[in-house]
Amino acid sequence: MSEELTITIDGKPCTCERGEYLYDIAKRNGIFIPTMCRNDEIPEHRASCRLCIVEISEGGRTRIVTSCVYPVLRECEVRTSTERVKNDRAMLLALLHARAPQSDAIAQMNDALGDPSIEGFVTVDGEKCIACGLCVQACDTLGASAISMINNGTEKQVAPPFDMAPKPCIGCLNCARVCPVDAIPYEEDEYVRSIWNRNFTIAYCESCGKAIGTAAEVVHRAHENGEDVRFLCDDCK
Amino acid sequence: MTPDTKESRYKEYLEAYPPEQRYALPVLLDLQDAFGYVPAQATEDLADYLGCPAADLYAITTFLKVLSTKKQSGHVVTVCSGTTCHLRGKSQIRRAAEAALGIKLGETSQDGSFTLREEKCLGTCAFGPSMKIDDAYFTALTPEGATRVLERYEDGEDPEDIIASTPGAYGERPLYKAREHFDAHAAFNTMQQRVVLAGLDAKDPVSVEEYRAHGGYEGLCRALSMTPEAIVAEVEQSGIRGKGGAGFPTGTKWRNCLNEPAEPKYLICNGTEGDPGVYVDGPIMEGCPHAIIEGMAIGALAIGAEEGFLYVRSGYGKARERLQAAIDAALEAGILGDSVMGSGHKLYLRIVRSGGQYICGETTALMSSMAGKLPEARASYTVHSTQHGLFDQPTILNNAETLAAIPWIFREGAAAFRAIGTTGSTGTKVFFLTGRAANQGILEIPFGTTLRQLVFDMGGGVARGHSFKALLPGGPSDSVIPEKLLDTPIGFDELAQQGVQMGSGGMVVLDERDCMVEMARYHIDFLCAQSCGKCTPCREGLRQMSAILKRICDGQGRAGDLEMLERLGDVMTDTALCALGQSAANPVLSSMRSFRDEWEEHVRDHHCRAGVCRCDALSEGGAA
Ligand SMILES: Cc1cc2nc3c(=O)[nH]c(=O)nc-3n(C[C@H](O)[C@H](O)[C@H](O)COP(=O)(O)O)c2cc1C
Ligand code: SF4
Ligand code: SF4
Ligand code: SF4
Ligand code: FES
Ligand code: FES
Repeated sequence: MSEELTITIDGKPCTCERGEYLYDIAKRNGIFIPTMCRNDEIPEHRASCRLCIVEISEGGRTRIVTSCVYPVLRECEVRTSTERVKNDRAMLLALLHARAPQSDAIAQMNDALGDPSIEGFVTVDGEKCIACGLCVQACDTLGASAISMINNGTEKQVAPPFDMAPKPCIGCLNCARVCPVDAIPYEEDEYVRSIWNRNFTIAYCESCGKAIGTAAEVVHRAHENGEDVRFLCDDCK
Repeated sequence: MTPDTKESRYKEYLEAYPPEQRYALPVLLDLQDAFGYVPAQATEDLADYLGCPAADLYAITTFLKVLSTKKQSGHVVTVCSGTTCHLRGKSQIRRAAEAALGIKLGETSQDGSFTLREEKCLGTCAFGPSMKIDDAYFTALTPEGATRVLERYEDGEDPEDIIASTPGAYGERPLYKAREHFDAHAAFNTMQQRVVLAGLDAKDPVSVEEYRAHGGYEGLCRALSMTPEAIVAEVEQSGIRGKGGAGFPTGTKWRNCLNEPAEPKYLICNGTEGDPGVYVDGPIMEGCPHAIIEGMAIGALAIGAEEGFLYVRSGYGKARERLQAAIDAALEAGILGDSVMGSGHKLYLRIVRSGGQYICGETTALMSSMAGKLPEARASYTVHSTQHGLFDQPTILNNAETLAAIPWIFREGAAAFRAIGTTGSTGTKVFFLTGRAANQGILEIPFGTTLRQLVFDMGGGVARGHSFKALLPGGPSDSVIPEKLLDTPIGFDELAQQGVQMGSGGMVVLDERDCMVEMARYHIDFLCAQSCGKCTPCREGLRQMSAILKRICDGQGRAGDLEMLERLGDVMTDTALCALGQSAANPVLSSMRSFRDEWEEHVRDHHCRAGVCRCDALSEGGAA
């Protein structure tokens, strides 16, 4: 019983289904909205970075909303780069840049969309992570729930329990892969992958010899699916 | 690993609860109580038992200040960090305690004999600054006095002797002493109208008989003869609005929940009270537990709930004790249980300890925490808790004071309730008058009373020789109320029209000895430690605000600092994920609007007219 609606984004009429997120509608229509904490592989959006803000006029009211979690329920007019949006976003980028001075991705976005007149912020030296939480979500949905967002308030950060090498980790790298700022370090060679202070043996397909992730990952996936453990790639299965 | 394949050292603590994630927090709190911390092994065992990731439990332990990953033991020394004690020099008390014990806040001394913590408001504001050692209260402290008391504990002296020989020391909290003290001051009492606090003077607040002797449970009796529809209509007609801060019409909330088809439905009493300058729900839960129980029972009838929860601040031990005793008494009397007053309706009420940070009282964070997850706020533009609330079921969440007023409405009728107060804000509001007010304590006034009447007629103004400066509702994100707004009648809309909030019932009076800049800094630093830290504007905006305010208070303010605070504040208000971050800049922005001169003096002249910030003392780091 999906219902079709037409809204305008930056003057362009866009059709959508009732309840669709604004960000998705914009994207489908080729309208760019910057994001950091949004990843299509992760079904639930934390909406923590706030960079995807837009201005919306709806029912006689104009306000700022975060497009990645704003469901369109009725006709509305959306503008993605008003002065207010640009100002707010520039401040958010300055804040993230001060929080994560080591992040190139943030520095670049700040160069492009920031406001050089915002200066004098205290920086969290050596920090690269913007605490968006995507890695934890990826680990929960694609990995083994080995890490979490710990502490609260200004102390928020990512860590494994008790800051020890996390036992449940399977070395799948999903956390590092989704990180928008490459803040999770790992190393790997032909035989071993190291992440979160743990070393994992790389597994190879017994049939064709292709690398198929870590052995721990293969075992974990087999258990998850209730299958026997077989070291085979998808093609050879 | 399943629980039956592995024997856990912590078995008895785990198995006190069924293996469901919603019991994560209760078990963690029990472990903390028993061991002084949450051991790593216990965390793993609990994860196995509940079938949830250890990482999730560790996240909760590090989030909540009441839980610890390092062993805490010995005498627990709790320094009050509430607003009134702050005004009266709690920072010096904290520093004295840190020096005497050789440890910092949150730490345990090496020999394990002392643990130092802080808690916002110990409920003895009128005599602050206050400190608690185990269950004993030490009030009206000076830094020297605090040092002396701690030294005597260190020497192993009998606590009873120390209490007996220390002025202002009490074996347990001096309950409502403030009120009795000011009984002499007529207006403090005669201008009150007690709907919620009617039971406050009860000899035994837990006794069903005593409560009934004064009309208690008559409202519930009447509700039992009504249909859910009629109950909700009665609440709507009363015009009562929520006292948790937002002033949402209670009848509308109940109707929304009544209209939801899904079952089961739940009812929650919000007794988190995380605001640093408010002590209203605490005394209500302690003094009028049956009013809350009756209010919840009526709410449960309205929506057809069979289970209700009271989410009570961890630091409010006395309130939990009284509520539990009152619930037990009500069960015994057949008021709760399988058949509420013989009606066949089933209702059980359970107390759940809240983590205690300010964010824990926010609707989505509270429900997430009750489900055994992190108390983080959740972004949603469309989901309402009356539809998808606790455990994703339709839920009513009401503040403790809101619920405590419900019985009166059913006993006396909606029309009688409406007759009190103003058109937009019916009934009464409980306030906690504190700070520099001459008369302090908890009081209840009809809406429509002006702020000036509250502060000057009832509160007696400020002490002789001092001059009134401003009023702070006790929430960390409430706006400062300057003198020129004092003639505003107290009411949700009346105050909102003036750009200030009702808050949740704190009223901290400031006089010329208090620095507006430093007060803003106090609130921002409080929020840095109390927000969930999920979203950029709140987490990072607070970090930068805190840094700027620190330098201004230290006499290092720079040109442009005030403008930057305004810019930051506007962006936080525009873009933060939940109401905490959206209102976090209020104490700064409102203070700058009303007291611009004072702010400019700090930045331009490095001068603090109140003499609180030691701007010009080079070595001192200003008031912490
Ligand atoms: C950061 C934050 C903290 C809150 N803390 C409390 C609290 O301690 N107690 C409370 O009753 N409501 C608190 N609230 C309001 C609740 O979210 C909720 O609106 C309220 O409990 C509903 O009850 P009411 O309708 O009776 O006011 C808080 C809200 C926010 C945004
Ligand atoms: S590598 Fe480890 S921590 Fe990262 S997603 Fe995979 S299981 Fe989780
Ligand atoms: S490590 Fe990366 S993905 Fe994880 S919270 Fe930090 S920035 Fe986000
Ligand atoms: S505004 Fe603050 S408290 Fe609310 S979600 Fe964001 S970080 Fe958490
Ligand atoms: S992308 Fe929408 S809040 Fe981060
Ligand atoms: S007792 Fe310290 S502020 Fe209330």
